[in-house]
Amino acid sequence: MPQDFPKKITAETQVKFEISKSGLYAISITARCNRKDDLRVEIDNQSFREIPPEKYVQKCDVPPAWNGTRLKGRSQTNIFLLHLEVGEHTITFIPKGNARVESWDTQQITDHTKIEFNLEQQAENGNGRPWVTIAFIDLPLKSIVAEASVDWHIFDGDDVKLIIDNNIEKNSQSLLWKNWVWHATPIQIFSGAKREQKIVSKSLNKSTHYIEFWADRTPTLHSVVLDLGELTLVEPSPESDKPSIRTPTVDDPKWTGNFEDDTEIIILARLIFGEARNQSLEAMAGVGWVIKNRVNANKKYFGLSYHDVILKNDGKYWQFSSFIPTDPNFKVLIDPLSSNSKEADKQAWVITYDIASKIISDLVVDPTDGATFFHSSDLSQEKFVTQSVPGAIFIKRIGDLLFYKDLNEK
Amino acid sequence: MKNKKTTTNIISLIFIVFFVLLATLMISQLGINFSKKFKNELKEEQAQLLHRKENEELKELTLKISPNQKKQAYFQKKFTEDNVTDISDEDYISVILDQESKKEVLFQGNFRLSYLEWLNDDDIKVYKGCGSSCLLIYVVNTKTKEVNELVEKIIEYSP
Repeated sequence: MPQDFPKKITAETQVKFEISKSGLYAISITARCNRKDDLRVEIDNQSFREIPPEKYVQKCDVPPAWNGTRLKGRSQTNIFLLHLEVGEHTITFIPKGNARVESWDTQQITDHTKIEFNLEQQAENGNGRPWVTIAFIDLPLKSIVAEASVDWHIFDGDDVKLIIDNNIEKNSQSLLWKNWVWHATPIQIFSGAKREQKIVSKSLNKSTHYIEFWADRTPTLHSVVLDLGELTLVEPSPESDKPSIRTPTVDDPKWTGNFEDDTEIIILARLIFGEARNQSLEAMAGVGWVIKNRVNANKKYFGLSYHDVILKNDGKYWQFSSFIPTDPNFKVLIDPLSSNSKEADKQAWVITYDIASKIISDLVVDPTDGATFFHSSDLSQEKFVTQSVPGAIFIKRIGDLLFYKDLNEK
Repeated sequence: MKNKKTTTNIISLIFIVFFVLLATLMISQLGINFSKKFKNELKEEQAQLLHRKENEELKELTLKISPNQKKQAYFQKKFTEDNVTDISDEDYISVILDQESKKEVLFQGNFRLSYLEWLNDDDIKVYKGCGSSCLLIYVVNTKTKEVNELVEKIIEYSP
């Protein structure tokens, strides 16, 4: 940890660090805020928003931020798990009012199937509030094994709540403490503290996820072990010894110059934004599902991944004209939150991102019943099935868009 | 007598205070309205400036010169409040024909108009994306303004 921490910060403060090997890293930050004050961080200009995304982006009232109203001066530790490339990186502390950053450090993760945090951290006394948060940035999650101790203190006991992506893990064994996975009982006045290990299995797709541990009174969190399951990280190559390339996010979707830097959600959101931002939510979902259905069809002529399908071209023609660099739409979809963008465009981007994220996570049903083609009402249905895609099977119309299946599909 | 005079003075004073307050309120309301109007005008002016800049960039991006170098064609967007609700308008993008410094609207379409190509000195191809595996071509004659719609088959499928 740098020499000048802990310290009180009242204005945006940056710290820089360098890493010599690309890979998965954990950045751990402990800080505290009083009522009316907040703190959030950005890592390499990437900010962190609420899950699931709401209409208006929230940055302070999110699990990996420090919310003074909830903390009332107590400390909270946030651990950011993310992939970092070789080179210099920046953590920006952005306080609202003032905040005290107690410590921060980075640690490389070598085994993503067993990421161990031996915290041995006892909560400061207080009512239920956020305590330790782990933010997974563009990562999957298979399981969590956590060990905590709780004790009883005359009139009240220690409790620990576990929240995953805004959903409270329920304690099926207790009616009184159904929202607290670890809880003390009055009998512990005699038996003393109780240490328990809990295992939670989850199969969360590669995306952004937040795991929150909330403390009531003074429990101790001994350890957290995470298994990310199948993980395909980019193998470091000699070329990757260059400074890192930014990954566009919903809050900072500006194109890097290479769509390969886009996550699947971002490139799908760009496609929906470029092709159907003027349509209903159902039609937008239909367009997104056409892409997913093509990916799932596993046919080379469609493309085998989201990027393949969306960027498909034969050098002369593109599958989706909005991705042609000279198309007027291209400029809008590569930077939908540009300072020149109008409010409606910005809102449309947030909506299309939300739809893309739900499609990839299977949280929205396919309104097209398996379509792999769509066209706008600019073209007649007859011309599409006789000239564009001979024999395509019409499924349905949603708004201005008509959806079809491939003749070769069953 | 003295009491009557005092009462009159008090009433007068109340009236004066009331009118002063009323005048202050009216003046401040006028100021607010003026400020709002000024702000709105400034906002509109900024939006128009931005739109002009956007169209200059769009011209640069889409400009195509005819084979005989005598005609130019490019896209221009109409001024809209946003790029969401108005993009379906059939005059959202105009193809501008510029010959001998005379500019005219040759063809118009919605936001799906994609790019241009000169077919020969008189005919121009305007491409319009229309979905997945969907590309429309409008061949527009610059003299007669006659339009022919063609459908391009853009991907060969080999199951």
